[in-house]
Amino acid sequence: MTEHIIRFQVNGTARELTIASHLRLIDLLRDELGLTGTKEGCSVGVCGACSVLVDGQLVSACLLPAAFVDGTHVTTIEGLAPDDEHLTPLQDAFIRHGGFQCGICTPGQIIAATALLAEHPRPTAEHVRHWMTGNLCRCTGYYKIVESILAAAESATTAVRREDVGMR
Amino acid sequence: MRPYALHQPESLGEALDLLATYGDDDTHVIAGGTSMVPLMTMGLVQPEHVIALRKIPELHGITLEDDGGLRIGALATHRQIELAP
Repeated sequence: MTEHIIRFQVNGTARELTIASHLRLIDLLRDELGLTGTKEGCSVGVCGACSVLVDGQLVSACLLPAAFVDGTHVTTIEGLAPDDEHLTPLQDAFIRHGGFQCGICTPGQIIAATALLAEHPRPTAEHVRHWMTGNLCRCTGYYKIVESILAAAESATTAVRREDVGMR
Repeated sequence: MRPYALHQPESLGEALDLLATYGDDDTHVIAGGTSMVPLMTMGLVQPEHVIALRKIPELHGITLEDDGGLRIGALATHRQIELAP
């Protein structure tokens, strides 16, 4: 085993850590940094539950050796909302349109959809379905997820007050 | 996952030197990790040494060669290939 010093930003905060070579990004986020919003589903890069953004690119945190994020900016579900009072339009739309049921896949769904809207702010329903094929959901049947993403794409705001969707 | 020694060479020459040094042991080469990391996670592959190629500039990118051939670097992602002109 070797140890590696990595310096990177997670959700805007600079971190410097010494990690074991075999640590995956999902282990680093959940076990070392306590960012448990990112879920581990299949562990083989198929289900998308562990989706995060590395320098804006959508990646599966279960597939990436943690040492590889040295020098990057990592964004997890915890880092999307602008502050404690607000949600992003996507988070708001998932709540309003019932884009989740059990919620395990939801952080990954919202991260993947965030990457989609960053690249294509006004996608078609077909485009959304195609983009989101990397994120599996066993509850919703996907219709509500697609609906949520399309609704967020039409949103004119950049942040929604949490209390407006009944969150304190 | 069984611990392994991770090497991150920054040139092809350095990578080849590492392969020459450790090639006889249980050594694997890793590019993006989409295959190797799950295999290691499941314990199907348990290398002593892993040589990561990601810091080697020559292995990145997609280029059109003078003879009309297309060179796809080991570090080119599926997404980069999808979006390549």
